[in-house]
Amino acid sequence: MKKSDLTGWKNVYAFTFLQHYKSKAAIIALILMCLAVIASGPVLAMIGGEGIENTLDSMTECKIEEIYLRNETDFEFDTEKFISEKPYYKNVKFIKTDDPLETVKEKFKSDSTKDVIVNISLDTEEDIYKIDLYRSQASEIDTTVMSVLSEIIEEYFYDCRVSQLGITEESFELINAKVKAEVVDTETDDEKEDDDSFNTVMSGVIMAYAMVVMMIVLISSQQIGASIIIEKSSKVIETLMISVRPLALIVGKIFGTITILLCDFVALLISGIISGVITTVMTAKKMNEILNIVTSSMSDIGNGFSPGSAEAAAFTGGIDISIGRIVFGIFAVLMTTILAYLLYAVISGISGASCSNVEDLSGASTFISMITLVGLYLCMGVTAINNDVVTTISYFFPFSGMYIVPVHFIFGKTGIVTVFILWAELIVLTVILFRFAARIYHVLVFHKGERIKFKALLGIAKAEKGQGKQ
Amino acid sequence: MSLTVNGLSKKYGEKTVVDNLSFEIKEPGVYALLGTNGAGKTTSIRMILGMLASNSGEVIWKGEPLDAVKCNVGYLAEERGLYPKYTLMDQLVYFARLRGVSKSDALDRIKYWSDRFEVNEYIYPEKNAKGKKIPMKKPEQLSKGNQQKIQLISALLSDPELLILDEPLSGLDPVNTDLFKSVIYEQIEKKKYLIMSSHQMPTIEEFCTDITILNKSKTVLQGNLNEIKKSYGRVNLFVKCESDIKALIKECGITLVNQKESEYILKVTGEEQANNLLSKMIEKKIMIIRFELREPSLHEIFVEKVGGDSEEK
Repeated sequence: MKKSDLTGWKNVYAFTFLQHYKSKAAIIALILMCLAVIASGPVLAMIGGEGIENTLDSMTECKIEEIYLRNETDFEFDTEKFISEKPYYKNVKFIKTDDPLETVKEKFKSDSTKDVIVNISLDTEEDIYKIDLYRSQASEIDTTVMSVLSEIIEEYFYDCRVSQLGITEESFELINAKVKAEVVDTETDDEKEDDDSFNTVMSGVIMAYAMVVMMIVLISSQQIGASIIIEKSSKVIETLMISVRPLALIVGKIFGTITILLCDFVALLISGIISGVITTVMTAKKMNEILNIVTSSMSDIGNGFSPGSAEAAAFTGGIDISIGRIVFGIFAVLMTTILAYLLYAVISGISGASCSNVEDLSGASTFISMITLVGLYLCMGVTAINNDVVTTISYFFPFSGMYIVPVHFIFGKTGIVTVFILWAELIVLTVILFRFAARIYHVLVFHKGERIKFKALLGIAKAEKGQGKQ
Repeated sequence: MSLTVNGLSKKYGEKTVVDNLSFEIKEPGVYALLGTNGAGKTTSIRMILGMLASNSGEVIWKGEPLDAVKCNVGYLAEERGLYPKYTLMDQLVYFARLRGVSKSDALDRIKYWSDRFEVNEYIYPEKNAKGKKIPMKKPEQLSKGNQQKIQLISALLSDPELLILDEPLSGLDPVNTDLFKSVIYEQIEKKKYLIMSSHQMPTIEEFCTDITILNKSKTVLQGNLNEIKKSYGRVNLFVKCESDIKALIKECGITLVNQKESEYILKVTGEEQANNLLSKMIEKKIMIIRFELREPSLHEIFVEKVGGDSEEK
């Protein structure tokens, strides 16, 4: 490979990047995604993330006039205490009744549209307490008000049970705690409890990370493959080949596409921050609460996470991880994602060039989909089966290692050497494929007809090896 | 300054598609690369430009191996291609930048050539009465001729010293053919080196001084066009007269190739046979409108060299 093989890649890079953002479809799609991200926080907060007390505060005057309370349980429902604790319902008249539910319902039908029936009962078959709320068909009370009322009564009834049993809340929870029996080997007994929570958190992180990486590499490789096929099918490739070598062309496309992804990512990140700010402003009602949040955040940034701190524990699911490991881990995540992207980009460059038209692209993508699935299945295998052999294989198979190794490193399951070995594998594989592409690419770009299969590609590479370039 | 192609060969497996092609362009002008479909013209051009690796041979330009990426070369490919969705201006600037032309120079040259080829309306957005830009046609919506004009503009943007035109006039209407010809003449006047591949023999005869004819990957004829024609001798006789001269033709032993009313296309063995016919026509006081003895056309030479071996692919 000579230096001149890369002449012009910057022009290809700039063209790829600029043309993407000149496309109205791309801009509209990005704007829609950003708007969706911005809206998601406030919408979720409005739907249910803001807490029942805040919901009560934000609601207008209570429309309920009377609540018919039927309590079949042995626990007393103190309505006066309820009203004193929840002043929102201070104008509501509670009518306790022992009449059968059907009778209350009959009476209710002909009565006001601003009344509610609350029926508390014990379901002996399922062994649970049930709280049912009824309103008439013509009721003026909307669903939100009913939902809030049901949650508040449920919460209050729980408190009634605890207080009337004469025990503390902790004792009540201990009594209600489920019992799980399990057979465990004595050798692993001590580690078992820690491992369970550790593995659950780690599996979640691995799958989330794998999904993100998979989306990045698949979307970008699809874009690269498609752009190469467009140049081939529109026959513009021959005009390009006079000015730029195939390698410069593919390198420009690879870096152009990664820059596009990066810009989209930054735009979505900014949207996420905006969403967070809007959500905070919406949920933090008083200005001093906002200031507290800001001050607390600044303080956190100033101090950094300390090992074993509450913040770090929240981040890692209660597992103590050193700050150094987290920092290098984040770098490992970024580096591995970039290397994975480069590997997939070169593979897509070759598979895209082996096609003559867009229709062939799905066939060419089969190989990419297959290796991605193999990697993902191995990744799932590691999270499901805690087996050393499977884990080791998945570490050193680049298409699964790219998902697992950085996360396992962060959680201290593997060392820095494994990360370096994975990087070395990815780099070597990318370089080999890049050199392979360099050898066959100029033949592929002029290929017309059926998609060239892998065996034929090897044949071309072999034939080209014997030919001296001018 | 000259271009030398020396022993260029290309094989795909066992099949040889270009076999030991050699020629030299010593002076500025147009060199023709002729051949039937599948003879190896486009492959030869791609090898000359370094797009395809050759099995053997070399291309020397100005005393050094030709590297199209580094040298100022323009190329009009046989298969015209433009990005279907991007604007023509963006594409032309991109192609010019790839050839090392600065953006400002590229914009100036695009303006010059778009005026020349009368394609301004496809490159520069026009405004309507309200001052709003009128949406331009996408490249995929342009006619073949207009696409070809854009392609030639992109080949000329770097003001190349060596210009390679693969079938430049195919598919053009007579008006655009003349427009293209005028641009080619302009390049010749500017002392540029041109290689042209075409099936249109009259065009080749119009422009080219030297030719190579390829047939089934091999060079079957090569040299200066005038010399080649001279070597064939003046054997084509065209006669237009007001009487029937079939009897005289037969008497002189001349071959009648074609006859259309009072026009006769004849094949003679030499000038003596033609003179003999002329003498007899004068003797019989036949009114002669035209009597022309000429060398074979390039078309005839081409057909003679590759006729029967022509392979359509």
